[in-house]
This record gives sequence, C-alpha cells and structure tokens, in this order.
Amino acid sequence: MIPELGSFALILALCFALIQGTIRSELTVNAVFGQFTFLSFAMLCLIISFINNDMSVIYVREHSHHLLPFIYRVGAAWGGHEGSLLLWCLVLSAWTFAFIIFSDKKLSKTTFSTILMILGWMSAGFILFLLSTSNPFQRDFPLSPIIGNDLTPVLQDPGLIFHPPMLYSGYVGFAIAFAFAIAALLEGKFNKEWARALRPWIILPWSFLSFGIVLGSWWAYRELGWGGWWFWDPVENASLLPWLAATALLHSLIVSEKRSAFKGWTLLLAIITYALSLLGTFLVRSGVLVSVHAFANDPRRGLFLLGYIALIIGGALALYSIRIKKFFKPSQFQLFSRETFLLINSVILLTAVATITLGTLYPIVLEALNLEKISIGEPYFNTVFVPIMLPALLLMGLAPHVHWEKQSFLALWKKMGLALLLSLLLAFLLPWSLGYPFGFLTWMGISLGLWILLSTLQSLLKQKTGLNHWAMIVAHMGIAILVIGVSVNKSYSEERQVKMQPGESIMLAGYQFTFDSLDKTKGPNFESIKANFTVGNEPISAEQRIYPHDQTLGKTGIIFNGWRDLYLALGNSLPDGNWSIRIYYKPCVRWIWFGGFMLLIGGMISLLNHYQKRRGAL
Amino acid sequence: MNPKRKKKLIGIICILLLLSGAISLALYALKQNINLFYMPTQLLQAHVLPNQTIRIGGYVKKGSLHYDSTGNGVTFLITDNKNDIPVEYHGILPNLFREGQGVVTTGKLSAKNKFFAQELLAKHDEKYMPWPLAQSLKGSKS
Repeated sequence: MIPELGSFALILALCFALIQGTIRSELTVNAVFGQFTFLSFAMLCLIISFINNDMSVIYVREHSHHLLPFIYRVGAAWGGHEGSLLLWCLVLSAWTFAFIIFSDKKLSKTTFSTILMILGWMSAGFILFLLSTSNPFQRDFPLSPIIGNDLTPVLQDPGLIFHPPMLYSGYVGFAIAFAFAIAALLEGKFNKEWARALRPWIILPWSFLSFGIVLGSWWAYRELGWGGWWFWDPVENASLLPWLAATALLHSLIVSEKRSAFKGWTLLLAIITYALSLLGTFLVRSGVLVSVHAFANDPRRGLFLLGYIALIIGGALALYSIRIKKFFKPSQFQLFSRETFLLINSVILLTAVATITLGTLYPIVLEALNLEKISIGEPYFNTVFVPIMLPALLLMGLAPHVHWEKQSFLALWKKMGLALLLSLLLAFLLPWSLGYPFGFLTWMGISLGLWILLSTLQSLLKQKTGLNHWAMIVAHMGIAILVIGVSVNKSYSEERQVKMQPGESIMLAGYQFTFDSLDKTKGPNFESIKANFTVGNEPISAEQRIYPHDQTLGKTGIIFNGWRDLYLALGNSLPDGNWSIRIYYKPCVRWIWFGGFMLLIGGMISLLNHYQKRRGAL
Repeated sequence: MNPKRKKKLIGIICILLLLSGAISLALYALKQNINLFYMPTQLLQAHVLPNQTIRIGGYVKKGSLHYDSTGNGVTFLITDNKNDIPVEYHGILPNLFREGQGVVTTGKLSAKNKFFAQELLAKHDEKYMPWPLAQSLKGSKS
C-alpha cells in the first residue's frame, strides 16, 4: 500500500509542477507548496518501504538486506539511481518553496511569476523522467521470500546520510539563479536590485556545494583505503565543475551589484553553472560512466536526460544570444582595476572548467563514437589544473586591495609588497625549520597559501569591516588553508606497504606502529577480521569486512590531530601467514576539509549580512 | 590608436595568450596521459611501444596467481579466454582481487610481452566494473 501511495504522490506532484509551469497567477504559490508536500511524502514512503524492508519494491530489493542497519536503510533511500533522482526533485521543490518565502520582495510580480514558471517546467521534466524511466516504487511480487541485494558496502557509512543531500542542495540550488537569468533575458532587465536579490540564491547553493564536495572527499579518504582525498574520478569532476563556474559567477555578480557592469557575463555564467550541474546529473545518472558512485544501466534514461538537458541549455543559450545586446554597456574601468582582476579570475576559472570537462568527456565521446578506448588519469588533471589555478590564487590575494575603476601599480606594490615577500620567505623557512626537504611546487603552494592568508589579514587591519567583508575574509582564508593543506600533504606524505604478523613493529615518519593482535569480530550485517595496532599509547585498528553476497570492504583506522593523520589499512592475508599492511603519514590533510568548511561559514556570514540589511531596509 | 581601442586590444591579446597557454598545456598533458585500453587478444595484435603506459583488462586466469618470496609481489595471467598476458605487480592487492575475477591494470609492457603493472583495479561488485572492461567482457564471455 505504501509504495502505491508514493507513486500516487509523485503523479500529483507532476500535476502541480505542470500547473506551476503553465499558469501565471498568484495561486501558483500553492502549486509549489503542494508539489513540495507530495514529493516529501513520496520520499517518506520510500524511506518507510526501506525501513520495513518491503522486498516487493524492486528498488528496495536491490539496495537493502534484512540485516542492513536501520540508519543505512534510511540512507539507502538515496543510495541508488531512482532514489537519488527523487531526492533531486525534492531538493528542487524545496529550493522553489524557499524562494517563495525568502525572495526579495522588491522583485516585480511578473518577474517573480516568470521565475516560478521556469522552475515549474524544470521540475515537471525531472518528475516525468522519474516516473517514466526510474520509478522507485515499481513493484514485482516475488514467488518466494528473498533477502535483497544489499546496499553496496562502500555506501554503508555515515557519509551516505549527509553527503548526497548536501551535494544536491548545492547543485540543484543553481536552478534558481538559472531561472533568474532567463527571466532577466526575457524582460531585458538586470539592474543592481536584481543582482542583490539574486545574491543569496548563488551564495547558499555555492556554500552547500563547497561543503558537499569536502564531505565527499573526506568519505573517499576514509573508505577507499588509499589515503587519497581526491581522485579526479568523473563523478568528483561532475561536482567540481559547477563549483568552479559558480565561484566565477559569485565574483562576477559582485561587480554587477556594486558597479553595475559585467551584466551579460554574469547572466552567461548563471546559465553555464546550471548547465554544468545538469551535465553532472547526466554523467552520474545516465550510466555513461559506470564507477563507484554510478549504478545506472538503462540507455533510455541517458537519452531522455540528454534530450531534456539539451533542450533547457540550448534554449537558454539561444535566448541569450538573441537578447544579450540589451545588456551591453561601455565599460568605465581601466585595465589595472578590481574589475579587471575579477574578470581575469572568471576567465581562469572557466579555463579550468574547460580543461576538466575535456579530460572527463573525451574518453566517453571516443567510446560513444566507437573509436578507441582510452582513459585519462590523474596526471592529466594535475598537470593542467595546478598551473592554471596558480595565477588565480595570486590574484585572490591582490583583488581585495585593488580599487574599483583604476589603481596605480606603484601604490599597490607599496601596500602589498611586504606581504608578498614575507609569504615567499616564510614558505621557504617554515618547512626548512621543521626539517622537511625543499620542493619548488611545495614552495609555490605554501607561498600562495600564506600570501592569501597574510593579504586577507592585512585587509582586516586597514578597512572598516562589515559582515560582508568578514564573509570574504573567512572564505578566502578557507581557500588559503586548503591550499596549504594540499601542498603540504602532496609533498610530505609518507607511506609504507609491508607484510607483518602480530608482534612485529614498523617505523614510519618517526612513529612506531606495533601489530598487537588479530581479532575476528561480528557486526550487525558483516563479519570482520580486525588488526589491532598501537602507535605510542594510542590504539588504532583496521578491518576487512565481509558483507552478505561475499562483498568485502576494508575499513581503515585513523588517528589524527590538527597537524597530521596516521592511517592504517589492512590488506590481504598472504600464504605464509603474514598480512599485507599499508600505513600512511598524512600531514595537514584535515586542513583541506577545514578550509572547505570555512567556505560554508563564509557563505553563511554573507547570508546573515544580506538579511540584516534587508530587515534594516524594511 | 585611441585609448579605448588600445585597451580593448590589450584585453583581447591577454585573453588569447591565456587561452593558447591553457590549450597547449592541455594538449601536452593529454599527449602524456592518454592511456589506451586493450584486451589480451587486441594487445597481441597492436603495436605498443615498450615505454608507453597502457591499460589492459581481462580475467585473472585460474591457477596462475603466484606470490614471490617477499610477499608483496605477485605474478598472474590476464586472460580474455583466448589469449593470456603475464603480469607482474608489486604492492598491495585490491580487496576483491582473486582468481577468476575481472581486473583492469595500468602499466608498461616489456620487450618480452610481459606486463609490469603500476596500478591494479579489481571489479567492485556485480554492478561496478571499470567501464571499458564491462563492455569488452560482454563480448568475450559468450
């Protein structure tokens, strides 16, 4: 009964979405509310089906198991294709609902309803896709009792509860900015008020996306057992691409709001950001790449999605090319000014987007054309991404100190020269005083991180600081910490692969790892072999778990403090009674995630400022 | 030239320089890092240079897995049920690595058609397989 109610709720939600998309009236607000209610209800039905382990529902059967712990049964609701699409639709309607409640009341009624209509069509398309190709409530009554395929062990981790909803809240949220841009193009109007009204709808999803990506990285680090935190996997790239574009959009929007320039550019970036979110959805959900995250296999899905996305983005770009002339305005800034710096920043970010897209799509396109089978690995992305981003980091420290319209080079040098030289020197001295070897790229990385840190702090000393300024400071310092974390981690990590048996010890980076004992334990739905180690006085243990259907998964052991992680992974047993063991020393790896977390905080501060101002205005 | 035009020109030149820099960087990186994928039978027919990094995929042949004395090195045969390629690998085996299992490995071919693997990926479960392998194996299994 419950799955049928879920299906029914989806159909009702589709009807509401169609009403929202076609009728221009104040009543459409109710349609949005109805749609949100019924999609939430459908999600609830799916979760209840999982909690009850209703194996007659195909989706539940494929992702659950009678031994699967309660919390992962809840998370499994979005652990596969159908459920995560339902989450997509739910998040979109939640954003639309939030837009109705919190949007700037200065927007005219027509604009407001145009935006709602565009969002309505978007939602209708995706709910239709869900119902027609990937209904999570599809039933198939089995003749004999079955136990279920189980959720892939990699997904059985607390990360599953937070990471997908956070990530989706991020990239689905850019739909609002997209609808805004389309409405602006249709009405031929994009002024400062619009830019201000649009701002929270870019900051908020951007913050969520930043944090979602970081959560994913942290999850991969713990789960995959290789001590890595970014693999340039297509699924990871799918989330990084909209982030880069949104970062460019965020900065370009500031220029539109403060200087009323770059209007056409901001609108284009809003379209591109959402296009990349959709591209990500297509890559992950169509089954064109089958990887750890992606379990879809049905070509019909791919075609529907591709067609629908092509329609949305093609339509948007066509509209853009027709209407964009209205937004051209002769520029009033000089070459050496904050405007130019922010423009270069977006160009660099978009270049990074282009090269990552190339590396991600090229193998898929070749494969689709039946040409060659190739893979493009991590080295490509590192070779290309790092040099492209270095100048962006340099500019990041400068831009907040450069004046709008024009700036004298000499004055800038006088102001910032000390910070620049100091960061170059410190980046050389700090690793040296701690006894680490010198490396050029490491030095560059740490210098740039310190440079952003110092110059951001310097801006704190001299300017009067409002909340908005604080938001920038926190976010930029987050990036600085992330960059330093990445540089130190990439350069000074150490690892060893050894064979050991209980009683033996081994040294790594000055830490002694002692293999104490080997246990056999049992979890709720797995059996496990656990290797217990101690480092100093601290216990650390790694496991090999065997889940139903003979699926195995390694569980890593990690002990950490602010400066370094010690990381232990248990390999296979060898014929001579030894075990193969991997141990890692990972300095500053937590800085990377902490930096990402600061982006979220920065975004929240900026939002606080926005609403404080608005309340002041009322 | 009037100052407005000059400014525009400098802007365009900067963007072109940046763009061409990025493109040449991308092409350079692509040239270094595109790894062609082969099944054993295709590999025997292809002309692969000794120092070229490639990927090969297939099943680990039953009864072919041997550990060397250090315990960290293994040798095994990758097969597509028609031809075999001997593979040598040093390092920790993936969790799901066992005989009869599908694998994809990245590495270099020696002069004697022996493959030195630098990276080894095993099939994760019934649904996950590195994507070039999934399609190739579909053909060779039947």
